[in-house]
Amino acid sequence: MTSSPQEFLKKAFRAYYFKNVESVEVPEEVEKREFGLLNFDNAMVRHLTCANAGEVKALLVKESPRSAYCSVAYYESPGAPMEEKGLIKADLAFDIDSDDLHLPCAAKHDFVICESCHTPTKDDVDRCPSCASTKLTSIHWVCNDCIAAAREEVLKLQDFLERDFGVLTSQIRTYFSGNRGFHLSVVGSKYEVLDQRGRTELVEYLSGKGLSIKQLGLSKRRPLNEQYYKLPTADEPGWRGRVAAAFQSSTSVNSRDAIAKAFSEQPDGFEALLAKTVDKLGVKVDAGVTTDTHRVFRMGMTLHDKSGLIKKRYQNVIHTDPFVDAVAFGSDPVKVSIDYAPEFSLMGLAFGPYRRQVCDLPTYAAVYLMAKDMAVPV
Amino acid sequence: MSEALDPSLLMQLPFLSEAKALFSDNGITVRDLGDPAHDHLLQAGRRRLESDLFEGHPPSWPFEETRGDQALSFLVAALIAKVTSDRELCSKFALSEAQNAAQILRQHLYRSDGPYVLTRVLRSLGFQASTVCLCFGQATYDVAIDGLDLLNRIAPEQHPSWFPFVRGEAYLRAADAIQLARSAIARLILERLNKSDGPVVPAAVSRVALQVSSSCRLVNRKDPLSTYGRKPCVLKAMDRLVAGSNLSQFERFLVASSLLAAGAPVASVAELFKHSPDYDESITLYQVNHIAGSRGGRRYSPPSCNKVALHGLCVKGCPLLRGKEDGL
Repeated sequence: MTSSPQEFLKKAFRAYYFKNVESVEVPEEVEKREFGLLNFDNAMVRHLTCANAGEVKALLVKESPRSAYCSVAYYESPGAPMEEKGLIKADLAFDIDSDDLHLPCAAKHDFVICESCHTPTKDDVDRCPSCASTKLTSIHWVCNDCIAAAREEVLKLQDFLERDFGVLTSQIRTYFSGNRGFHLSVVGSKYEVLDQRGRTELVEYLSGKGLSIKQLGLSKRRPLNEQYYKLPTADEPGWRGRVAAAFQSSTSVNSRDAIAKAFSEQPDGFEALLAKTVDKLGVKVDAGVTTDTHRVFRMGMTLHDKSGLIKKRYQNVIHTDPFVDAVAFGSDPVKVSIDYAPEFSLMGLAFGPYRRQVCDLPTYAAVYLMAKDMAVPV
Repeated sequence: MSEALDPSLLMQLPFLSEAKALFSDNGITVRDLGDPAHDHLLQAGRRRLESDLFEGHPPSWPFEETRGDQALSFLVAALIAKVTSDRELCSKFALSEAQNAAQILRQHLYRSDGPYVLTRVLRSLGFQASTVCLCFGQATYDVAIDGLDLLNRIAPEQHPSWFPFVRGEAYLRAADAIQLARSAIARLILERLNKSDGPVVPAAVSRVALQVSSSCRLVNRKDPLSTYGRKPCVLKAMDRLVAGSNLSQFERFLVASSLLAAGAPVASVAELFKHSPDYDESITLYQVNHIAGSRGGRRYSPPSCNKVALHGLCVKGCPLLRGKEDGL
């Protein structure tokens, strides 16, 4: 008998947790954490508590949720209502989403789909070109270029955390988020007690907010030769050093000469050039995630509801392919009906594009499309 | 280098926790501020607060008081500010005092122990700070601050990206460290002023608080309540009350409702009525609470000028009359 996509996914997720629950990462000081589950009725249940790792695993097997979350915070009473929980401290959490990177590949693979007739369109339209419905949904697809760009952000973030903030490599946990990017958690560092304002400042530091030509030692009002020795060198720490290294790397001269040359060539356009450089050097993290100490964050090695992929932990992100490593399901064929799906790749195999067709797909690919609401089992 | 701050400097930075010891031995309590023998302290506090509010800095030093009295004037000024319960006034006071402290630290930098004093003050404010002399490129940095502290307490006008962070420690030039200290001092003073429980103060302090608060509101001209405490009729009735006269019921209502509307706490308003010949603590508290709305659920507004005039209490020369002969 044909099941609905939700029933299919529920069954698949249950099987995953039944077989793999031992691999799920249980957070430190589990009794001080709040857990949250998103079930297949789309209801989010929060304020759950577990006394130990066994209870966490039992909960996952019993509920087999669509998504499983755990608080970044440690509370005195994690099961109490939010205002009574008593915040003790919170891990630092970073979410790098390729969608926030405004990549050129988005133009190739992102699209809008009509909820009524499932007609896809690339154009920025208000109405479906086929049925004129206004119920349109934007779909942000993800490709290898997206993952590569997100990976670059991860490497920059790791560098900031270690070199500037003194976070130990062993305190940083890096994960493929399970969908479009990466998650980083910093566990056991002194920054656990950073309050919301402090976390906002941290995010601003990572983005280079507030940097101007003044911080580089430049002023339009004074002759350049008077300012030369105030210009940064590539071996300086912090943002001055980063900016200097970026200018130096684009030329064959030292950083001061490179900055002085760029400034003298276009004194009025230099601020825009600096802003562009800072934007390139800064890390684009989701500020809402990092600054929210009460946030629940997807648990490591659990499944992502929008892809059926695992939130997979990596020791080193450089040589990784989440579209292979994070695949949770087998390759037994599943017959599905697809209205529309763009090209994608999983387990090293290319799939799609599909348009109004029924086909046999490996389970992992079928789950991937069903989780994105693009396929139904036949 | 000695860890302790020089007492003469501490007197100029009286909000630091170490300064408490300097005040604990003089035997003066809040209650004593109602004693005419200590009126000079109350006036010094008032002068300091008014200078902070209207000039943007404490009065120029030195003036006739000893340095100890100057420092005490900070505590009295803070007490008066707290009694007003006026957030804007308290904020102005805190910012002005912090600005003054920053100026003192800046002047101190020219002395050989300047950077050490700055670091010591930062530590007293709760920062993990140490004195350094580091050069990155041509930039010299004088103070190292724990990166966590800097992120949590950076001044609103600063950005962390301005400072080199090296393995969890941030380096600041003295001028930036002073800016950080200034922001922390303002926050510290405000936090203390905003603490919910304050002492019950003598009537003389309430009266000064009311006058300062009213002057401040009149200057700002934002608050519709601005005129209440400054009304000469209210001040005249208060003077009569403090002098031990038996006020009419209307006069008592005029005083209590005006003080409450100007932001004075119930306990301080009730305290003022101790001078009344028929004073009864429980009845006074009951009635003041009733006017304040904490009993009975209705808060009473001060009587209008018309009503004050009808009771024959309007004072000639009142600035609120604007050319009229009396409130009518």
